[in-house]
Amino acid sequence: MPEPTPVTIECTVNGRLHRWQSPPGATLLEALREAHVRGPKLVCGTGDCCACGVMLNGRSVNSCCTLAAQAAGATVLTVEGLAEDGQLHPLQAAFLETGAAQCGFCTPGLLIRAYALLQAQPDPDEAAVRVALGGNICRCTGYVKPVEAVLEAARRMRAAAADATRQGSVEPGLPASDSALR
Amino acid sequence: MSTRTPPRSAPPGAPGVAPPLRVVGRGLPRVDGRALVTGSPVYTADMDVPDMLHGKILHSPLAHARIVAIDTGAARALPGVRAVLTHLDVPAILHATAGQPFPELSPYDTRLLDPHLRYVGDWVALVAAESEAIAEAALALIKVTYQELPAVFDPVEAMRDGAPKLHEPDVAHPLFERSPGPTYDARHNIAGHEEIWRGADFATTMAAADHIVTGTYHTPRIAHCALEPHVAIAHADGYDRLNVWSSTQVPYHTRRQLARVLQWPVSRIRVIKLRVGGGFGGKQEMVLEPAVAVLAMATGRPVRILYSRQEEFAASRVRHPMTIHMRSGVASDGTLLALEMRVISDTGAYGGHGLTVAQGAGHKTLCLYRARAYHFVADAVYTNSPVSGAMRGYGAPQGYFALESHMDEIAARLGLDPLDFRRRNHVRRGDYDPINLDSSSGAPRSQRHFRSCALPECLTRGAEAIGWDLPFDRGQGVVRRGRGLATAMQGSGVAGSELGGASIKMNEDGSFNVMTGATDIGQGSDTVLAQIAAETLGVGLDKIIMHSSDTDIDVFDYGSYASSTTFVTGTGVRLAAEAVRDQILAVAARMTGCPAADLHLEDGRVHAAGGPLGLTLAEVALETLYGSRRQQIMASGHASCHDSPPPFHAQFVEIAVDCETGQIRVERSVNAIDMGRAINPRLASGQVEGAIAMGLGFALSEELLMDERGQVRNPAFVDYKVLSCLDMPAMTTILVDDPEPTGPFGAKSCGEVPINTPAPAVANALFDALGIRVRSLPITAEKVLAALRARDSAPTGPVAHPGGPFAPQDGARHQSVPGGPGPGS
Amino acid sequence: MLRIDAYHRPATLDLALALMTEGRTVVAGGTDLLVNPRYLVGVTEVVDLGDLPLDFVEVEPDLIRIGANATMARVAASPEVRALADGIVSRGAAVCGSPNIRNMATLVGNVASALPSSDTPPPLLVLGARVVLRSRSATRRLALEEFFLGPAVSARRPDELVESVEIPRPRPGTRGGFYKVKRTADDIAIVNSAACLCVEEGRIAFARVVVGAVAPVPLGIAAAEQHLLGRQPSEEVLAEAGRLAAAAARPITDQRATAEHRRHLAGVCATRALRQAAGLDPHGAELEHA
Repeated sequence: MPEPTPVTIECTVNGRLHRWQSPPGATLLEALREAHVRGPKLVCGTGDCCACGVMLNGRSVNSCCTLAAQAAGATVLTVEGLAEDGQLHPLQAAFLETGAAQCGFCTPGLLIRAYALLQAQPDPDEAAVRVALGGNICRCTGYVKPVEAVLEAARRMRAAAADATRQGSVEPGLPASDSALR
Repeated sequence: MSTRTPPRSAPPGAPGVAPPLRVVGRGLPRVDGRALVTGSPVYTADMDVPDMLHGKILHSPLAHARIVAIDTGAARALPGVRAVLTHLDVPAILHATAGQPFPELSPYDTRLLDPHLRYVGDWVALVAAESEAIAEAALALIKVTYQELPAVFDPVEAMRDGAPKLHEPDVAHPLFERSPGPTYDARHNIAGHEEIWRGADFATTMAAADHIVTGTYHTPRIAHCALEPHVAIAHADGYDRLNVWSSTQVPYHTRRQLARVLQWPVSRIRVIKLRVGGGFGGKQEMVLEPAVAVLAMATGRPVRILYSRQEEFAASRVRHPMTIHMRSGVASDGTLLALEMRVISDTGAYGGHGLTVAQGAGHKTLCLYRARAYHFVADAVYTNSPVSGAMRGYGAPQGYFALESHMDEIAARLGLDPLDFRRRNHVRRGDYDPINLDSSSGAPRSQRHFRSCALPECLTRGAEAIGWDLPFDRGQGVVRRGRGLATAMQGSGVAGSELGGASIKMNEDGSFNVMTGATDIGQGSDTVLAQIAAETLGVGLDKIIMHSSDTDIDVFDYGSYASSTTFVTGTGVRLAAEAVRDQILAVAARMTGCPAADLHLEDGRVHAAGGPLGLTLAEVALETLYGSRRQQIMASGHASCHDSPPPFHAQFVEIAVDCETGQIRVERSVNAIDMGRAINPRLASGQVEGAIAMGLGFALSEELLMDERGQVRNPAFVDYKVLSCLDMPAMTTILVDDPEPTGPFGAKSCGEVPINTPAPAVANALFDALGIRVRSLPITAEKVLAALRARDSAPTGPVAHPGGPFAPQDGARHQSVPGGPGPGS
Repeated sequence: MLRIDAYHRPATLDLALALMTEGRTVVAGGTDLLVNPRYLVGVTEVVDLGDLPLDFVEVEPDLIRIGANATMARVAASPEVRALADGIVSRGAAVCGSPNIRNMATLVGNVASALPSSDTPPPLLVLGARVVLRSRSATRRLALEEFFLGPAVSARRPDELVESVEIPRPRPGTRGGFYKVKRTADDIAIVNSAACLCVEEGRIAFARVVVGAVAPVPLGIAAAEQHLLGRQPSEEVLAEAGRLAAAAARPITDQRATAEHRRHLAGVCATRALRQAAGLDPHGAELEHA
């Protein structure tokens, strides 16, 4: 086989600078997992289940049908980057408390999708949450508790934001809701 | 129970009053949840194993063939390839891969690599290489000459004289030779056959019936679609032992079966289950482990095989497709007299789980109803199709689709409300299982005894929640609505078989390591067992450290199947915890001078009748580890399962049907389950909701489509349609509390029973909406439209009883789609 | 992993055009390219358009131009595109795949792949959209009808790339409808349909009907359009147009549906799209698909 021309890719993943030497056809999912970022999961490899979901320059995408090279110069956020300073993101806490993770394999993709939703729409109703999660396949939960968890997390995040506004500062440990980097 | 001390239900000094439960019965977060929500690398494919090779499997392109010649030279010569193995290189030991206790109730018809290939996807050769890409390239370089053989895909065809034969008559089947009843007949491709009669004389009872109702039902080949594919890593370590990390439901069965395949002693093999991303029965099986084992041995390096999603669909395991003929005799007043089920189950190319799932279709279902006579016939048939295996429900989803549809058809014929008809005929608390007898002797003496049964309450509360007795507008226009119900029972473990438990040791801070072979595959068994231990030891969940599923360390467990873990292993855990508690109290008695009988544990402290003694568990532990009379506080406990108390479930659904497109939308579902007592209501309701979703997929959209050459046409999510959250009905789940006397803290099971009801409930709701009966799954739009066309074009003829509140409003005649005769024939 | 030998990421359109040749294919979103092996037949190199300034939705007096890198999500949310004919192009974009897919997939990519069951071609066709094809030597515009030649076959030459899609503004008073039938909520179309009507003084002055997934290309139903012209948009007239659509359909049987079912659905979808375009209420709340 002729050797493909490798591509050098520099990107920021969860706040850390990465530099990859990848085959030109490597997917972003493959490159992330090769770089020990194991949160995004390989489930179908065909963009049909969203378990590989990551944030790429502020939008949630399926990393299995994105070339790693497309992420050159980009900012990537995976589930591992949601917690700050060891404190779980409200979505993660809500998933834990609600029982929204059973086998957990779809959980990273659900969290990223929910994260993207709440960035754009801090106050979704249940129908909007279901549309947002409509591409994520889960085989364990019947989707009931994940939807509940997203609504609960949204409530908590709105309450925290309202508190912060009242107090005139942003609480440490909560992600800034309009940060373009996340 | 085999090892059991009388449980102490009340603290001494408070006679007759059970203390309130503090941990059991609460919806506490999973003990392992944090790793899941943070994306921690806890699954098998997340492991970094130094020097690991990647394995790939060459699959047969033909449904039935023999390997005439196989040339691996070019593959082996490819740079980066470290091993290429064919049937000439590996042990040829016949074995079963079904995750069942020894001796398996499955034929030993499988070889690791067999020159006789029996389905598209069967294994031809194994490759290990430095990367997946190189391994795949090597597959393409293996030159195989196949002699194609005639194939058979239809089970009825396969049973005929002269049909292509898949297996040799001398395939060993240890249990079949011994016990009466089931038979194996390779000449007719029968992997298992059973015929049983129960109760009164069947023919006489049927002859006395006022009405005889028949129907034939079809269920499809479907896939588990666990999000985590099958994956296994094997490594022969420096102690000449084989270590296998596998995404499995049955580490102990796999260890034993690997030993057989490799001809090694069990002591040389260790199987470890890390976190599993779903199993649903597809991993109640030894699948990849033998392949990684022989590749690891051939290369001297760790080898991993990770199935692709396409391989998951086409070359792992599937649910048994079935054709089920129902025939019942009923009295005019609605009493069920004679109940008959005949099953033809397609077990695919190999017979693991073949007989037992076919049996399950009747054994797990017919026992729901009191009839006077029962007749059950089952054939598990070989075809050149993907291998059928265990899948959630284990024959019951297929059986209940037939049975619960059939019950509604009977009710319609008699003009009775389907709910009333069921109430009249269901089994009750105190009944004995009319079908399932002692599995080893077949003698009618030690049947399952339904010591708890809250099905009546499930029906009442479910009916109320859906508004069953309220007026319901079925609509006049393009969109019509209907309601339906279905009921089911399952088991809690396999009666007469099962083993599970734990060993528990105490640490100096008053925490406990609980080591159990029970396999958490996402259902939350680690958490449930931790709650049982914590409750018994009087501590919070934060003091319990679970370790599970390492065959070197943890107490033997049959594995996660048959809804066994809470009931069986939970009892073993409770026994272990009680023994540890007693050791603690003995030490505490020594330390305090109070008699042990006056002491109990609560909130991490030692209490007497009057209150806490100021002695913490940590202080007791320190004394035992470093004080004057040293010991390791530690005990084990195990339980097996003579009985299998059934959970009961009732589901009520409302559907909307678009009569122009044929689309069905399930709008509401009320799920009322009697699982005894939920150890963790949050995990339990999650299991119910997930099982309902899976059952709805079975009902509406899931099917593996095969072409005429035996190939799967839709091995991908784009065309194998799993339901999303947008397809889900609004769900209400009701956990009915009715403690089971033999279960740990009153628990039965819940993981499987809800999957049985969605398909018949939807079919029954469709009949309610439109007067059409679809008897084959999935109930697709095309089938709905075909049934509507048949209904609207039917000539005047015998019409089912027009009365009753559930006859269609417009008086339309009842027609059914291909799959069986209409009611009355 | 794509089996390709090289990846290019040109910084300008000229550099991109210089790379366009046999053996190379473009990637914009990549959600189709990376999962369908058909696109890699004879292809060894990929040209990524991501750095080119093509993610525009440009509004001009007579038309809206959507650039090659504008995502489905962008098109679905764009107020300007939503303002065209009851937003049928946005509605088509909004049901392609899942939210994650729509964040990367591009409308132009959906058009360029020329698949007969895609959701954006029918709305684009009924609005008379054009593709803008650029090569080093020339720029040409093709009506979409001329661009689609067969399943996954388009009029694009190997040295061309589709730079944008242009949607002419419809005549004032034009309304649109779009309906898609699926097996489950997140699905490729079994059949879809888009329609445009312009009703003046109670009579249909302009009508376009297209049905997807029932022919090698998205199918314009000329017979239905001719039937509609000059008539009142009544239930009977629209139902007859639907029957003509069913009769014109040339569907195949595949793993998703039988030809007979698709033919039947062609009529249902066309009628429902037309009823939307005529402003009629859905029949007793027909089950919402799109």
